[in-house]
Amino acid sequence: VTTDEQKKIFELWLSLHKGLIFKIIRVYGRTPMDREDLFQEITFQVWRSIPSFRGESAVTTWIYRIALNVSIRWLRKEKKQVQSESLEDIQHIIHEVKDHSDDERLSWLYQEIHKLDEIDRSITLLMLDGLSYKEMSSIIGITETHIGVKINRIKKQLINRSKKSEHYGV
Amino acid sequence: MEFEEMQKIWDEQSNQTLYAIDERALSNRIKAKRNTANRIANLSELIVIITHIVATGILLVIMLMNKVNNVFMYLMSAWVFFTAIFATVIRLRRIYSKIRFDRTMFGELDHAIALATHQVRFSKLMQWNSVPVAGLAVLLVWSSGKSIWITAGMVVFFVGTYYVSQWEVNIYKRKKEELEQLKLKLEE
Repeated sequence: VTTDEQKKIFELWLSLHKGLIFKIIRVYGRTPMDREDLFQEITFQVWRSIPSFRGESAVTTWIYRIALNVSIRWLRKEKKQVQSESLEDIQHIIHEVKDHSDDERLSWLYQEIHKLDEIDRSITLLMLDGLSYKEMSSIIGITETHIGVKINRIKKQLINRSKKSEHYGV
Repeated sequence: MEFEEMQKIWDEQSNQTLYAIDERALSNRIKAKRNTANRIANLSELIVIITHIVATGILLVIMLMNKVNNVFMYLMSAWVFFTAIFATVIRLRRIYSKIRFDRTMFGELDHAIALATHQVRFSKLMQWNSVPVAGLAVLLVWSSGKSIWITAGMVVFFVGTYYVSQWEVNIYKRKKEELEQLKLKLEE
């Protein structure tokens, strides 16, 4: 793959799948700075992965794999290290669009996902994005049965929390 | 709230644009990251290999110029040279072992654990390697008739180095343990 081809593929992938990356950075990053940092890391790794993409899986599956692996690694690194770059040094790459309005229940859902551990966050995101057990298994690398057990546990957890929450019925 | 309702709320966000991307800034950032990644990749292994090759060269030059016939000096240069070779073999094995892992989350974790295991082994190897090097260096100084205080100073220096290198080993061990815990979470 030439650098030009890599650039074109990257731009195409980004235009088609940016929504997926935006959801992942929101699930893993708490602050706008976190999300910016994570977005940079994910897009860089996606760009780097292009020469090794053989088309054996769908592009979406490929991007999910990379983005979730990067996010889990990033979360562990981020927990330990103090932000080394000052705010002024950061060249902003993503800008939040001001006129979108969040459903209160969606914000609640993100908050609840944030409370889960890094692995369960990935599974929740894939489950909410409507992926099949087979697709999830090919992204996570565990059996479909195992995925099913985890999903049942997460669903129960989320439903119980929604019942306890004051947001219920909002 | 039932799960189907959560799913509905989740699906609705797909129609909203949350962020705008500055594509030029993103392209610049990718280039900068690529350059940094290339620069720092494998630095510690390369440092070990290069310093050992340079050290072998220095020892050979000293032996040839001074026509030294000290067995400890020969042994030390051979040891240092084989350490460089061994470090190169370990490095190559690590690089080519990449192909054995799939790109799933589980596969990436396995790869990260294998990499952390390699780092623990490599740092421990370098720590243990300092023992024969220190022994030979001390014997060399002692056999050349230098003051006992110089020999004692060298012993203290090498013991200190050994304990400092334990700090590096512990960092890699902790990293490996964290990854293993993450894998356990995935399996439970």
